[in-house]
Amino acid sequence: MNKHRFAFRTFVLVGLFFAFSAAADAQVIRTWVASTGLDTNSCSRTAPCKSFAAAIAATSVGGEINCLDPNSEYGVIQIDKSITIDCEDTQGTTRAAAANGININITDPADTAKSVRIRGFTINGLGNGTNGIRVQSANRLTLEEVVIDGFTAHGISVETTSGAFSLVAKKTTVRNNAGNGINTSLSGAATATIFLIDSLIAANSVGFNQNSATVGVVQNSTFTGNTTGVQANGSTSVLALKGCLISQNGTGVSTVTSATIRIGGNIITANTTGLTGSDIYTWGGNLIDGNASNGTNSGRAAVQ
Amino acid sequence: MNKYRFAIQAFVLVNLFFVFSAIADAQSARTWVSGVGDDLNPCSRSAPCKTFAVTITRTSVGGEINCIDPGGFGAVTITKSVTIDCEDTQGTISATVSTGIIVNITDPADTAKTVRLRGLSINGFGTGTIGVKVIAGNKLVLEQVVIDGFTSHGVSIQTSSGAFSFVAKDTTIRNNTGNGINTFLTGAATTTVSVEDSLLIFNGIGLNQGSATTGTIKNSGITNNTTGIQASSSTSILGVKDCVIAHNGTGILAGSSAVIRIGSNIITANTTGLSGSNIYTWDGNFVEGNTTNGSNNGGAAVQ
Repeated sequence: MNKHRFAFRTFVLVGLFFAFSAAADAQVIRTWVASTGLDTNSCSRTAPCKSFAAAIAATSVGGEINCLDPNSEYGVIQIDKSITIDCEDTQGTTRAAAANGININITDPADTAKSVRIRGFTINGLGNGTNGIRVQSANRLTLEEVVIDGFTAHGISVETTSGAFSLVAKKTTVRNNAGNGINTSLSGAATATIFLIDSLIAANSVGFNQNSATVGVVQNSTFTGNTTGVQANGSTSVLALKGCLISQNGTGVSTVTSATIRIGGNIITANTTGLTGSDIYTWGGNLIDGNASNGTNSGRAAVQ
Repeated sequence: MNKYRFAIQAFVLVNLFFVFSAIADAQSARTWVSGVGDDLNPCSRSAPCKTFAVTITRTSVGGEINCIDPGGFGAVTITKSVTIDCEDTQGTISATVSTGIIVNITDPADTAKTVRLRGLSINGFGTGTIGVKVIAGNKLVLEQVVIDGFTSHGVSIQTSSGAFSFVAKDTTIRNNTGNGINTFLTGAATTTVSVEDSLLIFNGIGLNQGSATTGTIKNSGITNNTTGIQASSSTSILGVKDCVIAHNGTGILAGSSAVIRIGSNIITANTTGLSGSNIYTWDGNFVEGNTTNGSNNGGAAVQ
């Protein structure tokens, strides 16, 4: 009997040794979080973690985190390496009271991709979070089916200071932020491209506020209930809008300080002011009527 | 003690017999995988398997595999008509050094040679080769599929005979060092490509059509690629409507007498908008704001 007990204890000890070795050493390409997970787990499919902080630490550069089930307690997320967070169909959420929901700051030279992909995710600031997603340093950010709501600053704040950054967002909703829905504020030699498609930007200060060194393209998206729908500011801010609904804003489309906005095939109605600014060019087909002041475009853009 | 040992051995043998019987005999029209499944199971709803590779062996020709819950179900080679539908439960495949899904259906008895993939995410993690590779088959349909991070192509159609058809909707193909969708046919093979409501972003070429390919792409975003859309052969014909082609090196490129027809697209913020001598317009393309806009080569008929 004692012999058996000793053998059993040895087996358990060896097992525990391997388990902890795995947790401490091994970063894996795919990790899991679950509402019933534990951060002392290895973040595997059968032993998921609880928080994104633990899952990110257990995930290798360029790896992917998935959610096993819905949960509102996954915690704020600091991303310092290329990673995918894909909670499509299980709906991951993070609540970010008095903080940034997701902060992206990838500076490791060995991580050449500097690419973040977020899909199927809700980021709720509860009315007092700071920014929904703040990008300090990265090359690429892709958002699909992401909801960002209730921040005191911006829904998405792009604040890179060097390099070329690109944001692509599809089927993404950014709403109820006291600051702007999407805001670019670059410094140094940083540049950015923005592409939005099939998205909803509602009830923010400026829906999409594009400052210097940023080139944006938006298709088939809605800007409604914002103080200003879409604004480009600065001579190096160039924006194109096609097939969008821009309504119930104070100002619909605004250019400031020599920024260029090109518009085609949009409906711009029921705003206090439709178009304002001196560099709004039209590809034609914009339905602009029913604003308190419709405003006018400044000339044509080429159609082929 | 010996009596017990015999009883255990007998029990194990009987169990093994039933397990192998199940494997050998039963192919079901519908099979199941689960993140906590076991490949020794029969892949039923109540006893699901763990990997697509094993589950497909227990699925009859033309059958369907579903995912009970989220999980990484492994790379798979498909050699018969099958549906893999993980919509709303999100199946994933990790393919770090290989191809995520290979379609290679050659059995003459399987006349449909049709594969349908829905609600799947296939990740190459920057080191996998190809997301979905088609060697032989008749039809492939992708719906709500994500393909990311391969060193070669996201989808590679490389059939060598017969007429193949590829349809993709609500599909995202991104961050592939090669091309997002690539056709490279040999022999007498032909293919059609139809893409709708999809994203082709951060690839070498978003959509690259080789010879013997007729393609149509609608309402999709083709951005941040080295080249957005390219057709490069006199037997490569492509129609592009309602797409966003932006932030690419070159937006649309027609090489080697390939014909590309465009209508109602926005082509902006590329280094070069249009390039090549056989780009015809149905009109309504917003081509402005590229470093070089380029120009079309004439009209296409609108009735």
